[in-house]
This record gives sequence, structure tokens and C-alpha cells, in this order.
Amino acid sequence: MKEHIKDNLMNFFIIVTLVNIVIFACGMILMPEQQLTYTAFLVPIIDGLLGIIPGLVMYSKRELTVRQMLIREVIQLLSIEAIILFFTFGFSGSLNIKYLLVVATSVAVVYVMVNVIRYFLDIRSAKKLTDELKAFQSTHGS
Amino acid sequence: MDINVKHVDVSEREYVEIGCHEQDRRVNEIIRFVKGLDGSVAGVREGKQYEIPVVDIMYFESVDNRTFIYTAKMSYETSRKLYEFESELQDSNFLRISKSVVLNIMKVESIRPALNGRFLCKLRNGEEVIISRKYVGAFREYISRKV
Repeated sequence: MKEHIKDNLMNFFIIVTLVNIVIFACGMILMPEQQLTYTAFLVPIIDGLLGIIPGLVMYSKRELTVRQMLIREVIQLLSIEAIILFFTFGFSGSLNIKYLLVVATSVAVVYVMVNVIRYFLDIRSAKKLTDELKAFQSTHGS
Repeated sequence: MDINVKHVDVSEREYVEIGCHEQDRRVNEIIRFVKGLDGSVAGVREGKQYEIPVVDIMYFESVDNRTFIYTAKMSYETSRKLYEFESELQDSNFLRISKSVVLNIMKVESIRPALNGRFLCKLRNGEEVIISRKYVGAFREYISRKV
């Protein structure tokens, strides 16, 4: 459970950073003249919190197979899409399809990027673990 | 047969080296004896009982309430439970890496990431076993504590 919370906390900070980048990039392209207020700083944090909800809820003590894990990833992505789109457009009167597609695509890109970044962090951890293991094996006889 | 005993520094690994013309019955007997010094585990294969030297064991696995012992080339079944091996062989560098596997970490060749925070251990015989997320921390702690 502790590992799971640590994982989600890490995901939260990655999402916040990526959402900042996405807002900057999309804003510069789609609405370069837009003026933002201080509340805009809250958007990445709120998105980060909303983005980790499915991951927190779908915690399983069971060891999942690769297939089960992939299915869970897809369900998780769809849940995040639904949550973010609902909170972004659910309370406004009109629905702009262009912006809906931009937000939906951004969510998918951020989701994939979080997993890619986590994978690269895992590669680094694995390398460190292998080095430590080699040192362990040479001192303890193998 | 001459016997030489050479003292090595405590920082070096202890070893037994056998110089022979061919690996015959006598040499195999010596190897079995030396391996047996680190203990052995009883296992059954095709109805026959074997004593498997602990140093030859790659990992123990529990499948459907049955426990199996894996060496580089063979697998054996045992009536004992996984948790018994986990506690009994802790000092021989056997470590729980998932709900169903206790691994001899001296047999690990390399580690690489798998999906979703898990890691894959490539063993010296080419086999791969998964360290589940729950046990990654303990695995890391065990190694770094003893390095």
C-alpha cells in the first residue's frame, strides 16, 4: 500500500509538470493573446489530483498478469479522460468540439508521457539495482 | 591426490579448486560434498527423491498450493511450504520477490524494468522471474544493507 501511495505521489508531480508544459504549448498555439489570472496556477494541480484518482481507486493487492495490467491501463486512461473532460466542460454551458479534442488528446499524451517517464526512471533504478547486486555477489561469493 | 590449503584475505571470496585429469566419480563425490556443506533440500522428481544442494537452487515457486524447486536445468517438487524456505534460507541469500517466488539472489545475472513498476530478474540459466512492486523495496534494502 505504501509503495502504491508513493507511486501515485510520483505520478502526481509528473502530471503537474507535464500539464504545465501542455498548457504553455497549447496556449501559445491556440490562444497566444489570452491573459491568465492567478487561479490558472491551480489548473495543473487540480488536473494532477484528478489524474491520480483512478490509479488510487484501482489499487489491487493481487499480482496482475501483463494482459490484466494492459486492460487496467486502458480503463484507467478512459476514466481519466472522462473525469478531466467532465471537470473541464461539464460546468460550462457550451461545448466546443475543437477544444474538447485538444483536451482529450492532451490527456492521452500526458498519460503516455507519465508512463514513458516512469519507465525511464525504472531503467535507471534497474541499472542501479544490478550494479548493487553485482557488488553484493562479489563480496558474498557467487 | 595432493591437498593444498591456501589462505585468502577476508575481502576475497573463499573457493575450492580441484585439479584433475578428468571429472570422474571421485571428483563428483568431492563436488557433492562441498556443495552439501551449504545445506541441501529434499525434492522429488519422477517419483525419485533427491537431495538438492542449496547452492544449486535458482528459486522456489509456489503454484496452486504446490511448491517447486528450480535448479539451472531441473525442477523438483517438495511437500514443504514457500514461507518455510523463505525463513530458513534467509542467511543463504534467498529472498522473497513475489507472492509465489523465493529467489536465490546469487543466481541473478541482471535486472531490467517490467511493466507497472515491476522488475524482471534474468537468471544465469537465461530464465526470467518477476520482482513484484511490493517486494522491490525489500530487495533493494537487503542488497544495499549487505554491500
